[in-house]
Amino acid sequence: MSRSATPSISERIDALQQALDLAAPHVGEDAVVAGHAVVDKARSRMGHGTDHTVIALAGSTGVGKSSLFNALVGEDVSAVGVRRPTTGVAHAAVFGDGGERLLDWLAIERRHHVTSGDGKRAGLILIDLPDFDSTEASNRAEVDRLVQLVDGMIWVTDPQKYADQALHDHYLRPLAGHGEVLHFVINKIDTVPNAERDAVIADFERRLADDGIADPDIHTTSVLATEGLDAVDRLVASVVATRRTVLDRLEADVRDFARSIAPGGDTDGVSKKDRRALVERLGHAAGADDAGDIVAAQHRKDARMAMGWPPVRLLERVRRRHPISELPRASASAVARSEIDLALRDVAEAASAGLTPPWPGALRDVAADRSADLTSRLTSVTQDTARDATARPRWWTPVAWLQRLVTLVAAIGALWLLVVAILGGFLQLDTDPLLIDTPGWDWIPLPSLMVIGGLLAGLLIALVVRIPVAVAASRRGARVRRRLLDRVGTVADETVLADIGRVLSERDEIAAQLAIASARSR
Amino acid sequence: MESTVDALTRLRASLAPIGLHLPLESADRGAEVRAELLGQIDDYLLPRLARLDAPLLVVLGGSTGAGKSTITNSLVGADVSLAGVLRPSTRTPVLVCNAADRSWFLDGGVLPDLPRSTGERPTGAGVHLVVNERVPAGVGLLDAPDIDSVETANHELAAQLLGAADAWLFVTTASRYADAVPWEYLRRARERAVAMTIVINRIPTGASDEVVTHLGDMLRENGLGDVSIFAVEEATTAESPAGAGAKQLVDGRLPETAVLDIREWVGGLIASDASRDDVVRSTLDGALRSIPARIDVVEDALADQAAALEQLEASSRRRYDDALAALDDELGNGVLLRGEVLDRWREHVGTSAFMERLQQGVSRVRARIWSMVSGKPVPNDAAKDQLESNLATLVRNHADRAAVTTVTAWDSTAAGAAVLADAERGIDRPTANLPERLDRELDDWHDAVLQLVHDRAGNKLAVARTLTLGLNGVGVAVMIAVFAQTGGVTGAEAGVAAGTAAVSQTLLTAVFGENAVRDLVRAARDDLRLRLAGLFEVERSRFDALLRSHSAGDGDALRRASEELITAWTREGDA
Repeated sequence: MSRSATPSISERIDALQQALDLAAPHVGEDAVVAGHAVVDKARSRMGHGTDHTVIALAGSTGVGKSSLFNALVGEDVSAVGVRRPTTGVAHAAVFGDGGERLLDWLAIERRHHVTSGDGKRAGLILIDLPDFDSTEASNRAEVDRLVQLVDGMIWVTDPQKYADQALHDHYLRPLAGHGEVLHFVINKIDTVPNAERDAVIADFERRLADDGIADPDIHTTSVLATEGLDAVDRLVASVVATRRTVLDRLEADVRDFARSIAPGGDTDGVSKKDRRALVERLGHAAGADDAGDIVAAQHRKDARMAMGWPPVRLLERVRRRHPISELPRASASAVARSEIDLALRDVAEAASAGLTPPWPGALRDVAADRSADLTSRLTSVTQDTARDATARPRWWTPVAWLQRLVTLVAAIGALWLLVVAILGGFLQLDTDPLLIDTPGWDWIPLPSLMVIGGLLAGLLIALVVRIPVAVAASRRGARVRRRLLDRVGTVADETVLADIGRVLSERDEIAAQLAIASARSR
Repeated sequence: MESTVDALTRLRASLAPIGLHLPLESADRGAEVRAELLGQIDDYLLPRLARLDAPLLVVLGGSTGAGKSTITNSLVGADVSLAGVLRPSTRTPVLVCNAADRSWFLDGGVLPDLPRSTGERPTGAGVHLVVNERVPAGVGLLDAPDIDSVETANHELAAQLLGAADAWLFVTTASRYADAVPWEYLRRARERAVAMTIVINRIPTGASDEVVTHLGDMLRENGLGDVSIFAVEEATTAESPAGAGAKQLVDGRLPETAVLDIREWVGGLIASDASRDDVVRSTLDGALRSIPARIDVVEDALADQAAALEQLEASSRRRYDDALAALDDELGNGVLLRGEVLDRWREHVGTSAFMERLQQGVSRVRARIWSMVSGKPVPNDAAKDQLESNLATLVRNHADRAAVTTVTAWDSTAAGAAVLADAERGIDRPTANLPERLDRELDDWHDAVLQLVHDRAGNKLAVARTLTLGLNGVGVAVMIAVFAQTGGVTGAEAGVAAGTAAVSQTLLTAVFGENAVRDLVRAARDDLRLRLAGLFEVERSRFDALLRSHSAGDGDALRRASEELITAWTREGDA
């Protein structure tokens, strides 16, 4: 996706929303809930507009957060003392008018309207957060809540506490993606000899880099000695003036989350080889091999019925129904179903090789869902294909007539002999004139030759046609099998392969939307 | 009578192999307590029990930036430990002691797994040992790393060192004393009745009373009311602007007056043999008596692990049992032979044609000749192959389904997902050699059925009939009957139900009589069921093996060992 301009915050939020909607059936419920929380928070924050910027002062107990807060506000708003911990609830100082609804949304009760000052910082809401590392667990919960909601943060620490685990592991590391809206103040810098201050700052910077925050904005102050306060004051004023912080914060939220669920790995989908294997196995489950055999058997049987030796034909007629008359009905066999299920899992696994969770599971589920549908569709494919294969070849007709002709000759001969037998045997008539000699073959009378010759000729015909019939039968069987596999292939394309393709393209679309949501700005 | 040392050694032996692998709520805490307890047994309890008169170890522990090194240096009046502005400053613990105690602290048995270094500067890991004559004989001061910086290795080392201490000198500051992390250690100290004192450092000038009063209140609320507090006000270097009027560091050390009380406290620990023994005994007693409660934590974690494993095992067992039952159902319904076949093609070839072949098989001579002429296998074998390939498909599918449903179920729990993370690829599919194993089982089954037929054909007439039919023919007929017969119905009914299998049924009944056939078929069926169950058991055993490699250990042995330890210690104490 190439765009000339970087996406706006609402485009990012919409993209994340779309990605979540698409991903909902596939990714875990937790991720979807978390994603909607990000979207909802971003939308409600945007609903309050960018006229106000909320900056929180966060820090450990005893680093002088409240003193800094009071210094920035210009009045003693927050209680300051040597007893620890001091600040218990969050405390807001509102510069200029309005901001009530925003503070309601932040659920901050204690508000102080700053009336003094030159009005340059109108629109700033400065919040003094409770500490997060004291024995008061409720303080930490309040900090956790507000850290999610405020726009910008100034993390206050001191030379004693700048390397604390509670600060780095619990807060800064998870906020590493929010570098633009994080500012740092090392307070009580006066407790460090001048010569060593740079080393302390460099060490803090190194620790922040370990947390994943590059090029941090670090200031040093000493509230007691009123050192460095101007710089922090200017920082706050510039944050308010640019009005970027609200957007930067939300962008970072959306970007962090989008990256966390971005699909990993890559796949080419179902390869030609995998598709061929799938079709073979589905075909086998649908009985493609057996269908071929049966069509061949039917062909041979039809040939026997048409051109076979009469005595055998008679036997055949009483013995069995036509194989092809036992056409399949739609029903399911555990064996076939098992075969289909296994084939579906294999193709899903092959298609998802190299993908990260949850996508292999998503492909597996979508393929497995097609099992019942495939079973019934494959059944009808088999029926239709087999029915098409029953036409008889044209050359059978003359051979059949020839077979009938020689049969007729044998029958006439037999009738003739019967007449001779009746006339000679019962009526004692002279039958010699009736027994005409065969011209040229004196030793055998014509009727006898007709009977024997007819039967032998019939047998010969039956035997001779067997060879082309057998060849044609196996060809026909193979053709049916091939055609069946073609149709099975079509069915597979329309069902399971289409579904797998759909999920994979959904995945691509999710990735594209998340890329919009997490695009680097500027 | 078992001594405390023996009991402790045994407790250690049953604690060592425990591994809490599953990411359960109780696991982190359990593992931490276990590691710490193991460390304390090695570092402190065993060496201390071996020599009750050995020098005391006083550990200075506390937050990063609290000034532990500065206090250590001030106490001995020399720069033995590196103090600095970069946090955390101390990474290698420094032990300062009198020359008289040097050999004990060098290799006397305390903290045996930490290598010692001596000389000017600490080298690498381990404990750096410094001899200083201002430290009274009979005590060693150990400057430990911090307990709360981002360097987690420091916390572990600090916890280990504090576990090995006869007395704690806990250092905190005016801005630190309400932090959550130090209080975890203070509570631990209370649980173990460690001899302890708290130094509260870096108090803004003039605020000592208020801070000390508040900390005193907090200590009382937490049951540590009798712990003494030493206040040290913020001291700064001369060049610092805030230093004006405040106490000043001399050569980076606190003024003598500031640490006087602390030095007296240290001296008081060893003022007399009685007070010294008192410290040793009470800390040792507290440490030993804290063990059952700590073992409880480990044991609870163990129980959670065992329960989670059991749940996973039950989950996989249920899925494989379901799969086996479904397979059994399908076999019992005769789907291998009968009308529920997806298509009548398959039924026709798979069964009708198959029956035809069987009928051919009855006249063995023809079959043999056909076999010789065509080179195709004897029809009986073809029939058997057909049955077996159908059966193989069913078995593979159900094994597949059981594997994937087990994996899905496991994946939905944190513990299951952790176990699966160690699984080899393809655990969600049947084992690669399942087809071969099934083949082997079916061959064995076929032989077993033949053997059955042979055994049951007791009288000669039956044998004779059997022989004309062919032992193989009968065997295959029994195999068919197994799949055709539904539970409970008579042979003849089953034959009707099975439709196409009627011929084989009739055939069998004619040879053996109905009762014998029923018994024969039932025996063959049971045999098959057992073999299939065995196959699935092997499939499932992959999951069992995974669980076994994650098993945590024996909680009962642990509890017994800890109870016996306390009994032994109480007895020795009384004696």
